[in-house]
Amino acid sequence: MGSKKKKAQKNAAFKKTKLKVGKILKKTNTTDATVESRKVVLLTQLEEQTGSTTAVYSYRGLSLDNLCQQLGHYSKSVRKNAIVGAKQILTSAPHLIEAHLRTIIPSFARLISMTDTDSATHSQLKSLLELVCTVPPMSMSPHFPLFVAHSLRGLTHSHESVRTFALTVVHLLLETYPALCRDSTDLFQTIIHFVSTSRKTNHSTKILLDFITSFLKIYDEECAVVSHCIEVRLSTEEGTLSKRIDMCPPAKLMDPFDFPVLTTSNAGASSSLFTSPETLLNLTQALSPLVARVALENDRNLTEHIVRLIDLMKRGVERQPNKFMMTDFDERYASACDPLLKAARIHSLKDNKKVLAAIATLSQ
Amino acid sequence: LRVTTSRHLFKMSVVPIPQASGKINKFAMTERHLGFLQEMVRKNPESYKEEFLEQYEHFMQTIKLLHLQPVQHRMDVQPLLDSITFLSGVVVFFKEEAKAFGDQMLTVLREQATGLDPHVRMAFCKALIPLRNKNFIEPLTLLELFFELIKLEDKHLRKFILSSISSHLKVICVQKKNLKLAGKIQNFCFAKLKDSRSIVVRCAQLILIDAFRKKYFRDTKTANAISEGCFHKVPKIQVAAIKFFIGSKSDEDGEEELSDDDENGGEEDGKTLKEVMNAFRYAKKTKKRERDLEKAKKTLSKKKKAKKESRGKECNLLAVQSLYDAQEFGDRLFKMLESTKVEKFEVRLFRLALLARIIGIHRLQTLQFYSLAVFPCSYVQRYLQPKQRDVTRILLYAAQACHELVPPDTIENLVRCIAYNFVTDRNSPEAITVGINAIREIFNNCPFAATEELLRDLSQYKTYKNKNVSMAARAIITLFRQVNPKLLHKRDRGRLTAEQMEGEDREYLDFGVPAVREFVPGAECLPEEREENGEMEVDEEEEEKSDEEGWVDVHHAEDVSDKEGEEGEDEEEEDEDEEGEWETDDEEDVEGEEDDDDEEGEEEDDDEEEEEEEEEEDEEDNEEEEMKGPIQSMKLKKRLRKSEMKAKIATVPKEKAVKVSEGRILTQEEFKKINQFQIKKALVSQKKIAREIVGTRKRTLDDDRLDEEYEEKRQRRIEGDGLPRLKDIEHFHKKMRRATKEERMESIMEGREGREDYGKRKKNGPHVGKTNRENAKKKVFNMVKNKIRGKNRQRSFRDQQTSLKNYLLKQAGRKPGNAKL
Repeated sequence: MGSKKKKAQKNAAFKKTKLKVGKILKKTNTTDATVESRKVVLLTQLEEQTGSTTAVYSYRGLSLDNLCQQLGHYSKSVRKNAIVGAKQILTSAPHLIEAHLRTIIPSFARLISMTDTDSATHSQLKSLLELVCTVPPMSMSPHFPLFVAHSLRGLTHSHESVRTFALTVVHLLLETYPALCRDSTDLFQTIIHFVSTSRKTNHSTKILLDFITSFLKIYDEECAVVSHCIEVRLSTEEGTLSKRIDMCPPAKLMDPFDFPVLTTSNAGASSSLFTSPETLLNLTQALSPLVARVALENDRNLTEHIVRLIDLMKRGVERQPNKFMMTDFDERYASACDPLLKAARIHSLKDNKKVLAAIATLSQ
Repeated sequence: LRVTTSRHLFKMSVVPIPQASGKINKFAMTERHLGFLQEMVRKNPESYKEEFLEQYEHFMQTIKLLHLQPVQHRMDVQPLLDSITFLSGVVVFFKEEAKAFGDQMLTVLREQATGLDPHVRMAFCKALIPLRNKNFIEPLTLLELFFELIKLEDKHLRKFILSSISSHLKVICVQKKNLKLAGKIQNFCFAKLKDSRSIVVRCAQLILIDAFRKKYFRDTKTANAISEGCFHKVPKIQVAAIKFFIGSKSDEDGEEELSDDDENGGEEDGKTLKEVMNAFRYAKKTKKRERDLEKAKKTLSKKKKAKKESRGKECNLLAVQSLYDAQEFGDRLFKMLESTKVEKFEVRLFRLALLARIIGIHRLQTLQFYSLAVFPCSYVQRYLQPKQRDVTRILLYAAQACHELVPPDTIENLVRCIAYNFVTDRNSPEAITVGINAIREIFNNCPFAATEELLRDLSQYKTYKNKNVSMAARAIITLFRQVNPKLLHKRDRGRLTAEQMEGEDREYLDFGVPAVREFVPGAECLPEEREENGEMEVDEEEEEKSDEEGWVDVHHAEDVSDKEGEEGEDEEEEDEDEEGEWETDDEEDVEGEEDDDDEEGEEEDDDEEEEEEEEEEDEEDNEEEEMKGPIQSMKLKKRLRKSEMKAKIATVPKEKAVKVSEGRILTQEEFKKINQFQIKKALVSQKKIAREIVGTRKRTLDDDRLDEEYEEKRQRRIEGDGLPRLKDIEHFHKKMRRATKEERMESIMEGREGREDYGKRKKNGPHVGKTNRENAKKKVFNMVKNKIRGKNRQRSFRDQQTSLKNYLLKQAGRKPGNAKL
């Protein structure tokens, strides 16, 4: 045994080392010069602490962007809370509205045609939109078509409540941005369509009348604006003009963002109410049955509204500058007014003298 | 009318009462259920127009919104989809709205397609289809729009567009036969083939290919337009075009598709899917019937698939044949092959396949294609190695590209290359087999490329110990026995048949010298002069007469060439019984012939002996062969003399055939008759050869197989495109090796497919796995009431006593239970 071991020791120097395939043997006569060290890992860079001072958060600690996201949430309550939060942020920091219109408008206006909102949410949303509408027309104008498109979509919605709410929103728009509304053909046509098919609507008549009145008003105002100086007398002796010349073009042309490329409605002026006889006739056709129906209900409170409405309609016809372009304008106008006149002949209306008088003026 | 009036009344009642809460009126109903409303509008479009218009207006507003803001919130998508489906189903009833509806969608898709939600986009496209079918939209404008939309990266949309265009084409071409519109669409697709966007090109190509396969546009124009795709810069388009011309892979492999017998068999029990479903619906439902139904469905779908496949097969030959300038096309393809551009091997292989196929079918002269195989630097030569991937395919393409008009020396080089690389003893038997098979296919196409020396080398492999190799070598021998026996070694030549004597079945006498026929072979079966009668009426008579005359001659020929034993006659008689018509004449003839037979009988015996000797010699070594050389040559001379005699007598029917075919114009019926005659003649001569060999040496199954295969191949050459298939190259007579376990398992699993598991069936009813007690708990109390009552009555006397006792104690105001009496 011992001898065997000795033999093995003796032969150790001459023994051939068994090599494994693919393994590289370490050389014995070299120095291992590798250095091991630990890495220093930076998990975060030094952060600049910015924004925290300027950013505005709601009571629940949500930024406006977060809220806009939450407005599209599936859950009703989350949406409702987001509306409240947004309102709170915007009231506390009104300057944000103008800066964030690009995100605000799509997310807010989308809510108009949500079907599952209750009346409380509607009122919240309405006040929120009112808040948004405090923005001056100039900054609103690029986003206006989108806003209008959303609200008009609500106006044609099949749900009753949505339609009613959309009506209030459009009313709001008509009140706050008459000039912008005037340029939108979509708005005009949709409203006419809405009025002519509004038999089924159940909004209170007063709201509807108010709405129509303000709708007519914006075009009426436009007519009033038409005061370009046409004649100027220059007296050379005194060195004065008879009138002051307004070198500025009308307001709508000044709008730098109003390119027909961006909006679907191209230059609304051409088809607006008081310049084109065709549209005027359409309007009269749509309005007269409605007014007649309201008049027949014989509500004392509404007399005022009706008279004002009829007055506006009449003014529109009187000021129509392009009447001559259509040869049968008068006949068609008469036929359009026919329902009103018929209503006037009905007995129940006889008591209401004011309305009768207004209708009488219309027929002249 | 009644509906409208009732509706009118209904409206009257509803309008004054706006939204009475809690009461669901019809409006409220329809607000929520567009599907319901759709149904109502369909029934009576006029009276429900108002509701429709409401939805329509809302949709129009939405479209306006989409113009401004194509990206919609995810919650708004579903309502929009609903309204689109509603409107598309209903809008066709209102003409003006339909038009505007279509136009609006078209404009939105044109302008905002990229931004739209994919589902909405798809819904728009789907809604446009019925409008087009009802002619509210121009088909071409829609097609243009679709080709615009194809540029979007939307897989589902692309798929839908392709399928919708295909189905539209079907309607146009098959149902309406509106060829004008179809032509317009075709031209439009041609224009799109030259588009700069590759996806557009690809779609146009797919449409055209599909239309070609389905026979909507099966013309040369389409085929040539598709052929341009082979040179497109995008490989995918190239491959699609090339694949179209190559046809299905199974065709190239030579796998058999469902034969006619199968189809006929299917038709016997075969009902359509509808019938099967109906039968199931009205029969009692059992497990077995259900299973049968599933099976029937499966087979039907399989059949359908096979049909589709075969359609591809049938059209690709037509497409290749209808190329305008095949030579130029081939040259361009070859140039692409030569180019050193790096591309996938598969693509290169496809291109090679197409080029070979075109060369073979059009008989092109692209000589570099073969010579490339010889120069060591060329890549084809690199390809011709046993270890090359897909080498059998490459060999196949080499064989396909060989045809009669290629100079023999070119082919010879190619063959030599294959022989050096494959057919050597140091290669595996598989490689040798494949090599020999490939050489056989090449020689089959151009027999004049064969040299005696090479052929003898190859034929020596017939004694190789591997059966695959030996059979392959014997197949080559069989081939050359028919084609050019002189090149074979004497003992391999076998006996010459009558046709070979006459040189009848040879298409080419020498390279580039086609065998010109002076007469219609087999015309001798017709009478020399046609009877001048009303043709159709006296057909039978005529036939009989012609038979008589014809058959005298034929049998004369046969007598000399045939040596019929008694058994043979019996067989023939049986055959003839089946055919009826020929019967009488033949019997007479046979009787007449017997004398001749007897005379030749002695000779026959001698011959047989000789043959036996020969065969024995064959099996002996070559050394001895030399010794017996002179004896053999003697015999050969004898045989030659005999064959000369035969030839002399055989010329008689030939003369008659010449006379017949020169004398008049043959009718269709006469051609039919000739065909029948030829087939019969071939059968007889085959039998005769078989009999001869039976007499000499034991004819093995292998011999039969080789002959059958040869016949089959010849038939195939005449029928289709005449190109060899992969099956021919990869032909192994014996299985190469045992199947691996995976393969075995695979085949087992395949067999198990669709079979129910053995053992107890799994039950899955509502009460499965519950005890009756558990079930009883769920029963209605009234059902189990009586049972529970009965249980109470079955109390033992003691129980009754104790309960009575407790009761009495309770009555007495004392505590029940523990009290002891």
